Amino acid sequence: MANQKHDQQEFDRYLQGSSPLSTTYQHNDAGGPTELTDARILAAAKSAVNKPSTGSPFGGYQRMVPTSIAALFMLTLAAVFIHDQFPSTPLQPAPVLSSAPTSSPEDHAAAVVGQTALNESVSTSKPQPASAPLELARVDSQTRAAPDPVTASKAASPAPLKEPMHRLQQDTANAYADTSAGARGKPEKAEQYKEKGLAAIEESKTARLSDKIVATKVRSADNWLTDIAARLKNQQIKQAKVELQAFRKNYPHHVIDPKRFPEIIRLLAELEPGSPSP
Amino acid sequence: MLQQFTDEQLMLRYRDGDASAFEQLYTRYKQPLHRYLQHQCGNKATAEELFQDVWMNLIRARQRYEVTASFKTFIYRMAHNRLIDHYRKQRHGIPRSYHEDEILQNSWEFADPISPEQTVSGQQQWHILLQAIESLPEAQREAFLLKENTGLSLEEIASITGVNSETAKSRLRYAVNKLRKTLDL
Repeated sequence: MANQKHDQQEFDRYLQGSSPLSTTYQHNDAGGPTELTDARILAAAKSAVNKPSTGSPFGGYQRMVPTSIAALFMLTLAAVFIHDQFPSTPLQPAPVLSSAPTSSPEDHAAAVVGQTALNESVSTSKPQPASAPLELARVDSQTRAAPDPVTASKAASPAPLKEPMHRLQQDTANAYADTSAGARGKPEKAEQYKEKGLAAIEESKTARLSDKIVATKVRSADNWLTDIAARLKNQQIKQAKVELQAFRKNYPHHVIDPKRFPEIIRLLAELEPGSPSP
Repeated sequence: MLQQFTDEQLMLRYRDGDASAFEQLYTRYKQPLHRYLQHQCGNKATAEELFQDVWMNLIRARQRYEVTASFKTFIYRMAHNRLIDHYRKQRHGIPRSYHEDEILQNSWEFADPISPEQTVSGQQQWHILLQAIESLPEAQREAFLLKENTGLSLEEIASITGVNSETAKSRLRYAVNKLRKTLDL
């Protein structure tokens, strides 16, 4: 208890500044920063003052904010002006030019069926003869394989997907039949509508296949040959052969320039032994 | 001429572009600030680095400087913050003593107290004191060093270290008692 009291008295003395502890601590006040540190700090302080931090007309955050706001305002005005001067025209969907499917086969199937179900009543594709779908399917399988072996393998391989795709088409047809029959109040005709729905799907598929053939034809012979030559150059012999065969089917009478494509001529000679070699 | 200005006036002058005002401020503060950092870290090289950082931070912050408190409080708060950053980057993080408001007096081990028979010179006594300071828990050590090197009040020390006055007073009391007993004062 007496100790505590003594400690408190000593502490009060210390706070008043008359303690021998402070005297001892202040006894030796040697030390301090090195001269190098002194020099560095003073130099930094001077250079900070001499450097004009906001001297330039566009320097400094404080000036950047109003400038940004003004720029945004000008851009908005310009956009409004352009909109008034050139009223927008409705955007047309881009035509499909490539025969190679870019999305997955499932997406592709869903897209075909979905589109068919929507457009069935307003379908503009002309009816094809019964043999046409088969013929077109054969050509389509070739053209799919032809332009790009990578996409060709994608398109050719998914045999297991045929079942889900078929089921999806059936479901769509069923849905169509239910809706149509339900709307017309004649449930006994559901079967007829279902058949009609399937026929519409087939029609739409036919239309797409013919589009693809046109798209493949659109690819110029020259570009195609250049691609094949590039594949040969990259030692992709198999792919080049496949492409060359597809090319010959699409352009059976095209004369290949032996000066420009000597390697293709050689490949052609391998594939078609009867053809003239360079 | 600049000697007549207060710290705050000098800092304002420096803010407005007077480099010589900074020199004056630096001359006033370099010694105690360096000593505070060196005795707090116990390492000269680290103290040198922290010391330089504190002044560099002050130089960078000069344009935002407003007189809201005394310059002394301002610069020592910067130093304290830099010190805490330094501790945070250490393996053990911020020392426990900064989190403990109840200070464990008994857990502290006294440095060998000087026996009454021993007669030590002033220089020796100072070295013993330095060792004793080094063995204090960091928070208590800082309270003592701030008091000794700045002469600030308990409220100002509390403000610098971010604690209430009672905690600051308690830390200082424990530190003073331990040091006094070590030196047999």
